[in-house]
Amino acid sequence: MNKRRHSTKWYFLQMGYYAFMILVAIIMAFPIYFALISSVKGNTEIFSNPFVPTVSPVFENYPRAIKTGHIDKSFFNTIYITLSAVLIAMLSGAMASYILAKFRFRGRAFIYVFVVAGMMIPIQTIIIPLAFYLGKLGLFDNHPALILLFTAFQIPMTVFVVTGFMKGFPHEIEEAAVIDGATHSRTLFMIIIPLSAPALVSASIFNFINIWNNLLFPLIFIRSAEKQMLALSLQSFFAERGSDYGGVMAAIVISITPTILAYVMMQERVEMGLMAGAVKG
Amino acid sequence: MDQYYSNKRIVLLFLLPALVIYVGLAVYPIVQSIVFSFYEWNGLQGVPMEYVGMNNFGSMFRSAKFWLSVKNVLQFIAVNLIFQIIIGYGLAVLLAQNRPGFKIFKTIFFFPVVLPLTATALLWKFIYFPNNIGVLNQLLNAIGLESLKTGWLINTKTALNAVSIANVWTGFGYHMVIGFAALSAIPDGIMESSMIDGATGFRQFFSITLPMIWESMKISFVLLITGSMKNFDIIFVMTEGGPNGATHVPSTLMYYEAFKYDHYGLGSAISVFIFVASLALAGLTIRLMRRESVEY
Repeated sequence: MNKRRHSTKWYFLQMGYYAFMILVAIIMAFPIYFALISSVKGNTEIFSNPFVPTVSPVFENYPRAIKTGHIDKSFFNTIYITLSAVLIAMLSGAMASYILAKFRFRGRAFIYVFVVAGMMIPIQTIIIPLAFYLGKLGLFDNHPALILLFTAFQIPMTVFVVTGFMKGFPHEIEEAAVIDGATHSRTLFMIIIPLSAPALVSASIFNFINIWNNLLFPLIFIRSAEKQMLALSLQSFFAERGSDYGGVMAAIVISITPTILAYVMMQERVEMGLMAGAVKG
Repeated sequence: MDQYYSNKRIVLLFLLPALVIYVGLAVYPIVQSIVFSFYEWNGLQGVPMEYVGMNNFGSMFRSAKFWLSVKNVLQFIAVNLIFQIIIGYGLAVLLAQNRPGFKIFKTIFFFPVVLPLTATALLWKFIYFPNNIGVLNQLLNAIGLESLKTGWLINTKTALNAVSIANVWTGFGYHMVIGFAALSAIPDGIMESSMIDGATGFRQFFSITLPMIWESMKISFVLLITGSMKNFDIIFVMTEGGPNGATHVPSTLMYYEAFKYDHYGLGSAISVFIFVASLALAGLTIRLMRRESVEY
């Protein structure tokens, strides 16, 4: 049957398949297309013709959004906070995972389950006590405190993925290192962590996207516009200047660009990283 | 080597950073949250806390607002479960046929998953704008369905489903990729031999494919149910629980009770409810979906 000419029915099926997929693709891409074309339109033009790009683009929306919405400051705050939390979660997670994957001591299984169970904690459940204690300690508007908070919620996933990966390492790896006289720390940082790079990268991508997109923590713990994170700056820009549609659209485009770029550049890795929580990485 | 793997000092030293951060900032607050739910105090700081026993839970269960939020979250979960599974796994089946160009489609369908929910929620808000401003209403005008036009997020009848659909748009790509991975893992031989046995189309899907991807689907169900239970961002940005509470879910209600009206005790009671409900729903889902696993 391999070289037979295709029937008319086959061609209709093919066409139907692609017509359907293209329709879904349009629905998926439209909101982003809408944000892009609207971000260079004047306020009235955005809704008078939402479907086609403008013939006379205006770029003032961007500087205005950046200035009044503090988008530039919160953009860099978000990069700083996200990267720091991802790094601390990666390091502390790798250290703990190494112990949980390879070492023998009483209570190991319990500690593993205890940490991994943290994936089930809804952050809403702990927001009131955290606000209570951070307020008491005067730690609102405090970036290091926020970084550690984010870290705490990324550790369970990181340990889950990385421990699973390290369990597959043969003992011979460390035997060679021990014969060479390497200490535990040296073995961990020079041998185990580099070998775990695939799992660490997957977990870190997952953590990065989660923190970058988080709304609730900055909503509660950051009060000043100067220290704010991107998701919330965007939300409050809309709340305060909701009728500046062009500005809101420009702010949206700025906030989605990094994640879109990251996804386009490392598509497979991002998909794997995001799935790592669902299916062992 | 035994010595290497049982060095107590190293065990402690390496576990400590992760455990201190995790216990201090994630586990301990849960315990505190339960404790707080038995107290009432009307301000975050400098206000005396009064022990009120089960009163917070009492007023929570007597509150019509709370029950409306529970009804809303169940509806939100149901819409997301049904549509995200059907669209996600349906597209996964279509993509798994590996026709030319499927990679491009997969990329486009998945990318809303990585976008910040705040941004997508705002975009959908523009799409749902009322009158002839909103993109959806203009689309309805263009295709001659003017009668369906409404203020999607202002109308109490449509607001919750409108938000749910926006959430479906942002999320189904994730389950599509889980489903796609599961379908790709089915050995070709199984499909071929089932075709030789005469199984095609739906028959093949329900008796061969579905059992093979059941474990992945179970993960999708659990993630969707617990994720929808905890959802806060999209509702907060799109409707703030309005109009008139029509889109409040327990997590937004908790935020407003605690941080807007200073009812921290009641807020804590609601957050304990969210925690217990998501654990119970996850457990129930796993139990209901338990079946013989398929070996191949």
